[in-house]
Formats: sequence, C-alpha cells, structure tokens
Amino acid sequence: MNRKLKHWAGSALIALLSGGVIAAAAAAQSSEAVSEAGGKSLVQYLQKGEGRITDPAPGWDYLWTEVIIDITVIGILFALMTAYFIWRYRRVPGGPTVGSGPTLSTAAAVGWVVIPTFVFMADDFFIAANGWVLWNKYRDVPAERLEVQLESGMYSWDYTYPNGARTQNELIVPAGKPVLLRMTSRDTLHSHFIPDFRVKEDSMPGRVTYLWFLPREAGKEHVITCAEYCGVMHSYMAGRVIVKTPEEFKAWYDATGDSTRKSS
Amino acid sequence: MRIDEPRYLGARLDGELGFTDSEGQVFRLGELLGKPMILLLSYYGCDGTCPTMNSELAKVLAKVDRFRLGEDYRVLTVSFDKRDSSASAAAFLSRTGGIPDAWRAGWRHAVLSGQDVEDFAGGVGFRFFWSDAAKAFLHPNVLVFLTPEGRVARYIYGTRMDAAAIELALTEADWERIANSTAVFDMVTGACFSYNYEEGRYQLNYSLLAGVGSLLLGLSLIGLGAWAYRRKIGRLHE
Amino acid sequence: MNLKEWIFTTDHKRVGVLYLIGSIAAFIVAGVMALLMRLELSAVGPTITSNPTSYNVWLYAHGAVMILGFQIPALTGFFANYCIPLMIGAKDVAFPRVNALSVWLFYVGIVLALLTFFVPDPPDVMWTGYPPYSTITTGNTALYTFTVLILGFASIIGGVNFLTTIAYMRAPGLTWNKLNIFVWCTLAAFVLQLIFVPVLGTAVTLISMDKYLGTHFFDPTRGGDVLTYQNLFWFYSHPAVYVIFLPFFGVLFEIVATFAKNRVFNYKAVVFGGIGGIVLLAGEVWVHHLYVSGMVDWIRVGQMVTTLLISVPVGLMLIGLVGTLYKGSITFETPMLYALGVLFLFLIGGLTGIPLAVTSLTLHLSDTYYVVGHFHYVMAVAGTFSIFAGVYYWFPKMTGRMYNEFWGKLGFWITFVGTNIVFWTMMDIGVKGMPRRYYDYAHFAQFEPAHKLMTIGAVILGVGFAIALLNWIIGAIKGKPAGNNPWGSMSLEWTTVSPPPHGNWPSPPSVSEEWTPYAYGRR
Repeated sequence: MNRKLKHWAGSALIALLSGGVIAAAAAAQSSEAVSEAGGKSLVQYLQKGEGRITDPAPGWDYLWTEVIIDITVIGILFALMTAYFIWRYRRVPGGPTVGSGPTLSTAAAVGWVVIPTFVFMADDFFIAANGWVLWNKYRDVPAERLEVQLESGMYSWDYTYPNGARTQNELIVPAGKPVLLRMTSRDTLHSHFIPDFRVKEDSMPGRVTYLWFLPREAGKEHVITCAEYCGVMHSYMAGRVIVKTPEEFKAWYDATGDSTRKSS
Repeated sequence: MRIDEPRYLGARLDGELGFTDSEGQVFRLGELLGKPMILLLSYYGCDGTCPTMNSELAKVLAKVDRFRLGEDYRVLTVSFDKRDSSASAAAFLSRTGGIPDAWRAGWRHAVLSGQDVEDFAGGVGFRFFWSDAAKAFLHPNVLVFLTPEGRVARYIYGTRMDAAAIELALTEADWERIANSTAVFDMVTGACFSYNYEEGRYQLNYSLLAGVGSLLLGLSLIGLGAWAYRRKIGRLHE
Repeated sequence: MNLKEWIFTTDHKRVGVLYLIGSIAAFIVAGVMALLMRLELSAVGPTITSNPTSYNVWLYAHGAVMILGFQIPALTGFFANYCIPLMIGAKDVAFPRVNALSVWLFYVGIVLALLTFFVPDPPDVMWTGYPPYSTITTGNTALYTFTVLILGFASIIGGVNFLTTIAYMRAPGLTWNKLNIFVWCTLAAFVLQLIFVPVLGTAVTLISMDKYLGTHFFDPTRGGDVLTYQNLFWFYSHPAVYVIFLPFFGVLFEIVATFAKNRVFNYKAVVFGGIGGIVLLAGEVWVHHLYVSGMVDWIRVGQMVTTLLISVPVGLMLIGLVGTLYKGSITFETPMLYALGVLFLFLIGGLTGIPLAVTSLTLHLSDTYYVVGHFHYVMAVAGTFSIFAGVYYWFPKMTGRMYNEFWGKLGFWITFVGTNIVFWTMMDIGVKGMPRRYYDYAHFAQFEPAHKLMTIGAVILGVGFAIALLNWIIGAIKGKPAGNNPWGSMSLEWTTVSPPPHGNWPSPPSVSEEWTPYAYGRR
C-alpha cells in the first residue's frame, strides 16, 4: 500500500470510530425520549417479569409514522437536491460543454465520507434503538394471559385451549386479556398473520414459535390470514379472531371445555 | 408408547403444584425452576424399568461434565402412582442404590396426591395404564427436559442413555440463556445438532454442515485467487 | 452473418451479445408471466384461470426467471462480457473458451427454466423453494434445482474468468486507481458470486435429495431442520441482491459521468467506502429475510443493526452519483433519462427498505405486498431500468448504429409512469395487510380497486418495455450510422471503432499518466 492510501484509510478509520460514538450517544438519547413518551424507560423494558401490559400494536403504528416521517424528509431533501442539480447544470447553448466537477483534497474526500457516515449512522442507530424498544414489547409476553396452542396445517388453523377445547379457523378470545399463541405445524410452513394486531410469525414442524396480541374491543372480528406460501390453497387459508366480552367468553369457555373433557 | 410431541412441546407446567419428597418435605414446582430440569416420571412400586431408568440416569449424569447437577440443572423424579408416599419414595431410593450426597440438593424424588397426578402427567402428555395381567403400569420410558420457566423443551426416550444427548438436550432447554450469552461453545454445539423425532436422539445438522462447507469452499477460492495474484505481482516487481 | 460462427464464438463481444439475447428472451417470458398474474388478480375470484396451481407456476417462473435468467445474466453476463475487456484495454478475456462454455451453460439453464411450461407437473415452489413444501409438492422440484445449479455454475466460471481478466490483462498504464466504476462494481459482484453461490448450490441440491433420494436434511421428524434451508438460501440470495445492485449502479456511474461530462465525485469513496463496504456487509444481513421465521431473538435484533448499516455504503454510492451531476454539463438522451429515472426509483425503493430493516415493524410488513413493492422498486425495476439504460448507452458501440431518440424517450416515460402506478399502489395496500403470493383475495375484497389499478399499470409498463425492445430491433437493422464515440465519452471502450473488430484494437492501447475514464473538465 502506498503512503497516501494508508494516510487516507487511517483518517477514515478514526473518523468512523468517533462517528460511531457520537451516533450511539444520539441513539441512546433518542430511545430514552421515545420510551419516556410511552411512560417507561429502556431499562425497564429490559427487566423481565414485569407485570403491566404494553400492547405492541399501537406502538407499531407510532414507530411506523415516525420512520415514515424520517424517510420522507430524507427522500424529499435528496430528491430536491438531485432535481436542482439536474436543472441547474443542464447544458445550455453557449454554456460549458464539459463539466467542472471539483478535484477533492484528501481532507475534503475524507470529509465527504465521514460526515455522511455520521449522519447515516446516527439515523440508523436512532431507528434501530426505537425498533428494539418495540421489539421487546412484542417478545415480552405479559404473565397474565390466555395461552392457546396452534397447530397449523394445509389449510387450516387448529386451536387448542388450556381446558382442551378445540376450534378451527376461529380464535375466540376475551377482550382485554393478552393472548399467547404457541405455534407448530403438522406439514409445511405457515404464517399466522393478524393484520389488525400488526403481528405474524411462522409456524413449522419440529419447532415451537410464539406470538401474542391484545384484543381490545368486544364484538369485533379480525381477519387471520396465511402469510407464508404453503401450497395450492394458500390464498384461502383464512380465519377470524372473534373478540367476546370476558363474561361471554367465560360462558363459552366453560361450556366447551366441559363437553370436550367429558367426551375424551 | 410415544408422546404426541408436537402438542406438548412448549407446554408450561403449573409452578404452584405441590410435591412431597422422600424426606417428607413439601415444596412447590416453582421453587425448583429457574434452571433447566430433567423430569423423570416413575412409580416407586415398580420392579421393571423404573429402577433401571433411575440408576441408569445416575450413571450417565456422572459422565456429564459440561453442566453440574444442582448448580446448572436439576433432576426431579415424580411418581405417577397415587398409592406412593414419601416413605415408598425413600424405600425406592435406597433400593436403587441412592444418589451421591453432592447431588442431594439437585435431585429429588417426589410424590403427588390425588387428582394432581393425572393433571401433572397429562400436562407433559405422559400416558400410563395399569395392567392387571402384568400387575404393573405400562408407561413410556422417557426423560422430559424442562426450560428454566417450566416449559417442555425435549423428550428423550429409552432406558439406554447417552451423556452427549443429555448435554445437548440441556443446552436446548436452556437455549434462551445460552443463545444470549457468550457461551460460544454451547451455542455452536446447539446449532450443529438437531433432534431426530423418529429415532428420539440427536444427530448432526448435516444441512448446516454442508452449507458451511460450501461457504468455506467459496472463501478459499477467493483466497487462493488473491494469493496467486499477490505472488505473481510480487515476482514482477523483483 | 454465419450462425455457426456465433454459436462457436470465443469473442467476448459476441458471447456478451448472446448473453443479452438470451436474457432478453427470459425477460419477455417472465414479463408475460407478470401480466398473466396481474390479469388473474384484476378481480376477486378466479378470472383467467380457475386453477391456483397455474398461478403459482407463473409466480415461480416470474421470480426465478427474472432474477436467475434475466437480471444476473444481463448484468454479469452481457455487460461484463461486452464492456470489461474494452474498458481495460484488453484484446479479450483471460479464458475465451471458458467464456464460451459459460454462455452455453447459460442457454442450457434458460432452456431448463422454460421447460417449466412443458413438463406435466411444473415447479410451484416459488423462487425460494422453501422446504418442507418443496419436498412434499407434486410439482417438479428437480427442475428448479437443476436450473439454479446450471445458472450458478455458468456464473461461477464467468466470475473466475473476469477476476483473472481484470487482475492481469489491464492495458499498460491502466492502474487500479483508473478503473471504471463499472469494472470495480462487477469485480465486487463476482467476488460475492464466488463466495456465496456454492452455498445456494448446496441448499437446492439438498432439497432435491430430500425429495427424490429419501434423505432427511430438512425433515424434522428424522433429525433435519426446516430453518437451516432458509438460512442457507438467504445466505446466498441476499448477497445476490448486491450481485444485481453493484453492476447496475456501475452502469449508472458510466452513463451519468458521460452525459454530465464530469468526473466521478469522490472516486475513492465510491470504490472503497461504497463498493468495499457492501462486499463486507453483504454476508451479515441475511436474517432480515427471516424476521418472522422463528429465529433466535438476539440474532434478529443484531441483524437489524447490520441491515440498517447497509445504508452507509449505499448512501456513499448515491452521493457519488448525485455529486457527479454537480457542476456538470448535462444532456438528456435516452440512456441518461433511464439513469436519472433509476435514481428516483432507487431512492423510493431504498428508503422504503428502512422500515423493513426494523425487526418490530417487519412483524407486520413481512410477506405482504409492501415487501413486493419495495424490492421491485429497489432491485427489480431499478435493475431493469439500468439494464435498459446500459443497452441504450452501448447500443451505438455494439451495432454501429443509432436507435430512434423519440421512441426511446417515449418508451422511458411510459415505463416510468407504469412502474409507479403498479408498485406504489402495491406498497400502499401491503401496509394495509394484503399478503403476497395470493391467487385470490376473497377475504381482502376491499383491495379490488387497487388491484384493478395495478393491472392497468402493468399493461402500461408492458407497452413501455415493448417500445424499447422494438426500438432496439429496428435501430439495429436500419438505424443511422452512429460513429465511434457518439456520446463524447472519455472511457476506453469508445476509442475503438463501432462495432469493435475481433481483438478490439489494431494495436493494444496504452493510457497516459493523466488519463482517467472520467477526466473531462481538466483545469
């Protein structure tokens, strides 16, 4: 390697490292700001066994809006700048016929790497930190919950409740109580997708996966659909989440549970 | 006799369930959790496979070096016979040769009472029948591996046990912790082996090995090319 | 013209043109598949076929042929073959006969891919071929495996050939610092191909062994692991995105520099930061395809960070590209229009990828039309537009003739409008929950108007591409003579006659101290 290149690479490395530190600091601060908005700090999310329900679905909408604003601003700035260059430096009669782009000094060249790297990394870490906070909500299931076994197959969703009650393609749940699905598959890959609750996870033979969601409004129904290609009838593999009031649910649950237990 | 594995893998046991051990002490299942656990369902009046299972497990656990009984994991022998008591558990323990003192805290022999027996055994999909002809229970010979939070992680069948398989099953039962820690060796072994449901044992994850092998092939191709280039350029400069 | 001469040619330019013809044929077939799918989806319920399997086969053929039969061969087959020896001042590639073998293999692969439409049980496994479905389907998984293997092999031997060519056959005085950006990009793409294609080859071979030879690599009841395939597949197929991305960005750099008559902005940052950064990161981000597949949590979070970091090298390349416009003297011929179009499409595609990099957002977005819209913007359409830009750009060099400028520009605007109608709508309904790979959407009937709009958009898109293709054919036959260097480029390939003769230059070119391919406004 020649000396100039070494010098160039060395300064780039130092700048990258210092940029990383600044970006990380920015990210830490921003994630704290976000979690404060949700009434909690990042540290609390990391502690396990916490009792309160933190529904990830509204959190998804919040983060989505935030990221969309972020990328729209970047996109519009970049597009405007590009459009301006295209218009400003178009060839005009009598104007220059060759460009006169600058030859950069070493410092300028490194600067044009380091400063954008700072900016991109700051934004990356900001988004990653927020994404991580929301991720923890998605994966930390509240202790007080209804736990349902799901076995997916070509082409149905088969649910088994703790009392042995079984339903097919209809997931009946009480409003206000978190629902955890422990999923497996008897044949191929499927993905249990509930668009209204902003959640999906694949199920497959040989492994157990899980997802959870919080049904809120009794009397509502939510579409369940298969999101992982599973064969001929993939597009018809659908079901419903049926949300009942806790009382209605209890009546249904006790009745079904008893009959199943007697018959078995 | 087999367990309907897909249905029970991931199922969680009730931590509130109360047991009585061979010394007459009463404890809850939840007190034993927090570490992976090997659960062995036996009955203490048994003169068939149950004593064999227990003594074989004791023998094979002595060969497990990577994890220490009591510190890294626990063992719980539970009777599924309602007639058993802590006295019969103690008798069974002495009949099967007992266990080393160092293991006392980590391995308990317990009994349940009444309806609890069926709920507990049913919770892990363990079914058993009394046979009048044989005057014995018919039941699967199986070790149940539980995660630190009390979920079923793996079943290992058979009276002939293998220390390597038990290590892998413990790794798998504690996967959440191992995968999030710096225990690189445990992580790699966990990823390199997969469980064969048909034969009830662990085997190498051949597809992963083939993939890693082909990646190494690609990397060595590039490396070889770069090496050849540098050599040739070096020679031109001389 | 003598057909036999073309088939048995070892001339890199003819090999390149053969690659182009094959990949354009593949593009047409896969494009027709896309139109069929759009027609099927134009209304709820069965429309043009009542058999979901036909739809699934079209979907498989569209994905597999577009990626393996069109984009990768067009970018690393045609452009690399045609341009690299010319750009580095070489007479030919290092191993001309191996090169001929690679194009033959490519044609074998294309034929295998097209057999999809003639075998009784065509593959319906999607271009990903996930087991267990691919091992239990009645569809012909072997055809998929062999198509991938043959095309992968063609690509590997092409890679060895070009790495050797670039390393050893540069013209005197043409140092590493004076290479065209396109050459750097292709070099990087081939490095990725060589490292990662063997992994894909292994993965697809194992599924066929599982299906036909009774092995159990991916059968969990016998100790296999379903997830391993997905990891192996994406361990290649994410880098494959960069195998497409890098050369098409290289083409854009050539075109933008030429039509802005400007030096590339911050050349070293683009080469070492941009291209180098992508090569380094390419193998560490594959899990973002598996965010909902049941991988361990920490690996999903870890790869969220690496995936987001990809924005750094890509951003540096974009800055280099837009910076090249700065203080340029820009003219807007058809290749430049396409290239600038890509800039905007890629911007949309790249930025809409950021939510997809975030694990928690992907729990909702994964496997929806949002993903489909995103990767069409960022890779499929951006790549295709770049290929069209490149073919237009080197058209005078290849044929010695000029295409029709009016029809070229018209074709661009029609495709540009069509693209945005189709894929913007697609992302919109994806966010609202429309899952991908659906033959029918009875429980998402509210999206019917959007689907109708997309079908119209797809037809517009098809018309635009057809205009471009016809423009090339007519231009090649009776276009006006173009001269050796119609665009006034500094790059080495324009210094020979058009079309270049066998051997490229009467005497090997050498370059001066101050020459670079972008040395326009020397002060």
